This record gives sequence, C-alpha cells and structure tokens, in this order.
Amino acid sequence: MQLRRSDEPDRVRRYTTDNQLRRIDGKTERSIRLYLSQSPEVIDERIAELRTEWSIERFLQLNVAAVGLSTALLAVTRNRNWGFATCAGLAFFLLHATDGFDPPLPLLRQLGIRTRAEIDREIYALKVIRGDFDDVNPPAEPVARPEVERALRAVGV
Amino acid sequence: MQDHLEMDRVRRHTSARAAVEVDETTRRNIRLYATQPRSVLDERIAELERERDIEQVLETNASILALTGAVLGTAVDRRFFFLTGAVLGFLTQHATSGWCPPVPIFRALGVRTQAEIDQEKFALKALRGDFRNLKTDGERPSAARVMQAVMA
Repeated sequence: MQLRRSDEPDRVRRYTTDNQLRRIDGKTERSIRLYLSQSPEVIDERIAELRTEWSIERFLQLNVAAVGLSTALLAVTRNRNWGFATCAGLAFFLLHATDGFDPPLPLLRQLGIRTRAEIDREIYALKVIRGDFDDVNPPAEPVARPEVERALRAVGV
Repeated sequence: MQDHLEMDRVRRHTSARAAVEVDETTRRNIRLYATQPRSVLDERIAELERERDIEQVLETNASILALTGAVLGTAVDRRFFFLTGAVLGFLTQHATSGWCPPVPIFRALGVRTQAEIDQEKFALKALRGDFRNLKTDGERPSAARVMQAVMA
C-alpha cells in the first residue's frame, strides 16, 4: 500500500500517488486554460457537463455492490466460504468510507476519475472566468450586507 | 428548487422542505463567517474541507449493515446474506439514481452533498478575496492563477 497523506482532508486524495495527483490536477488546469478564451455560452455548457460527471464515489459504490452481491450469492447457493470474500470486500469499503483507501482506488485514479470536490474546483474556476465573482469583494466593514448577498447569488444559494 | 443544482442526484430526491433547510443553513453560515476575522474564516474553510458529505455517511452506514449481514451469514446462518443483498441492492440504486432508503433520514438531519458544502466553501473563498485581482486590467487571468485560487 502506498503512502498516506495524513494532512490531506480529502480522503481520496489522501491515497492518491504524487504522479496521479499531478496528472489529475494537470487535466483540470488544461481545461481551465482551454475555456479561458471561450464565450460564456460554451462555459455554461461545460459547467452543465461537469455537474453530471461521475465522481469516484459512484464507481466505488457500484464496484463494492457488484463484488458483494456476486460473492454473497455464491455463498448462499454454492459454498458458504464465499462469504469470506464478501466480508473482505465490505471491510475494505468501510475502510474507504472512514479513511479513504479501497483496492480499486489506485486503478480508478490512474484512469483519471475525479472526486466531487475536484470536479467542483473546475466548476468554480469556470465560474470565476465567466465573471460570476467579479462583484464579490471582501467586506470592507464588519457588516457589509451587499457583498455577502452578492456572494450568495454567485454560488447560487 | 435551484437550477444550478438540478443535476445533483441526491437533491433531486430531497423533499422541498429538507432542501430549503439545508440551503438556509448554508446561507446562515456564509452570512455569519463572511464578517469574521481572517483567522476564523480560514479555520471555517479548512473545516468545510473535512466535512463529511452524504456519500461518505451513506457508505459508512451501508458497509456496516452489509458487513454485519455477511459476517453473520458466514458464521451463523446463511439467511443473514439477505441483509447484505438488500443493502447492496439499495446502494446500487443510490449509485445510479441518487436515492436509497436512508437518504431522507440523513437529509432531514442536515447532512449535505459535496456540491452543497462547496457552495459555502467557494462563497467564503470569494469573500476572503481569493478571486480578487485575478483579472489584471480587464485582461484574461492566467490558468495557473485561477487554478491556484481554487486549490488554495
């Protein structure tokens, strides 16, 4: 097993190698560079596309469901010892949910599958480029309502 | 419901009331932290990066239930595997459509999706000034600077 980045809050990035992180972040930065010179309409389309991009959690959930269901079925119909495989798969998934690592993770990261937080960074970078945050400045005084309300509108809440 | 999150599959299956409450919490937090000193704001953004989103909560919940079924199925009675089967069936449904039985419960408890957490995070980053001065004299900002601003 590879190193664990103990200071990384994102539990998937925690277990991603330096090389894979460079490639994944590099892809995001290339996309930002590409859309810098595009019209707002093209950026809108890209943001819509990013919202539907499959995050790594969906792949991992489907993976553990496939492994767990097939081995559980074999344990019920053939040999109960298949249950040990079910237990192992689910124990790893529990480890993923709490700390981050899961056996399929290195492969999925090698393929460039991103976390939702990574996809959201690209979305907000494109929103910055589109000018969504142009009117949002740090409040000059302790209570500066208009600035805060503009920030709420920019993120759409 | 807001159009920008319409593709968030968990939000699609969130009751209007729960969604309003989740959004109200986000708005309240942004208004509260926006006017705090820089150090408090930094700490809040770091905290948001550690916040457990609904996928993580559901995965923990599903793996504990399914693992319990599998351990009992292997060691005690194979009928316990039906618990494992049911939980993993629902997890498949969640991965594809965004809904599974515990979703309404966790949503009512205020557990947010990653996209909702990121709304608060990026609003606070904007109010911290992270996206200021990226565009110099109306020129396009460089991709590296934008990347740096969203990663920080």
